[in-house]
Amino acid sequence: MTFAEIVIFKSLPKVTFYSIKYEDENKSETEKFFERFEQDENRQDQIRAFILTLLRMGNETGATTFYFDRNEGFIDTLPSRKGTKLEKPTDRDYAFDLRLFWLRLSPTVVVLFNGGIESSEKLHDSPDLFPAKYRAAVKAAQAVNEQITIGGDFNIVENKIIHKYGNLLEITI
Amino acid sequence: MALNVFDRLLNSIPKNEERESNISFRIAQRIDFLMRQKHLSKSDLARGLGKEPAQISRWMSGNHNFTIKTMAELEVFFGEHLLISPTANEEIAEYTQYVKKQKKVPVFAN
Repeated sequence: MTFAEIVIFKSLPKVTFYSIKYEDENKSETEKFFERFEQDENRQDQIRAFILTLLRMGNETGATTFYFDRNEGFIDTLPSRKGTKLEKPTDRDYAFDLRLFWLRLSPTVVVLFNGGIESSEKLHDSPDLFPAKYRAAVKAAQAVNEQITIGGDFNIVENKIIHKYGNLLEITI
Repeated sequence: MALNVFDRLLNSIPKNEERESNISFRIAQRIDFLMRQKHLSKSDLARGLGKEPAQISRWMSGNHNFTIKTMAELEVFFGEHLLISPTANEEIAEYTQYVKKQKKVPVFAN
């Protein structure tokens, strides 16, 4: 069993983006993802597309279902097929190969996990994502969801996850 | 205080790129809305406009640089406006007032 905390990755007016921080880690899963690719010159367009998508959701549209169209079982994956820059028309070899796992809890609350490089047509054939990161994201997503649904310790109030009895948004995975 | 990774990355994006992405996204979202409203699939749209399905996907990507020609084709196809200014009515009223003020009274020679 692993302990993890739900932490705010970025709070914007219409959406709060949370992430998961494991007990023995200094950084959240989403911070690790973005920091890994922050200096990757070949993937700057993709990282920018992710940031612009989150920004647009958080400032303008809210977390509408429009964005959540790349389903991988219990969780979804960024980039959305709609609404995210997917290709650079001038470069035929360019591919959008980054994937970031996410879970929409409400139009105002989204949990972001870790992600990586999809090196094959299928997620399941991409060793950077599957099985480790995908399974970790699904387990964390299920644990978060259990706490939000009836009988759980968390509530969603406006655009925040609130603990019914305390402050620490802790989950066991 | 050091910026977090989100803010660092956001600061590295030029403002015009951010705005360009938002405008293109709004058009994509409007096309998506009109398709759903009229119960049309992407294939229906591609067939109706005589385009390849890949072209429709590019339009929906949120980063397509739409030409006026394409937007006109889409408006004719849907029978709807693609871009609606949130202040359209006020702008029309203001313009009407401006035209009235500018209008010269014709002077007829005797």
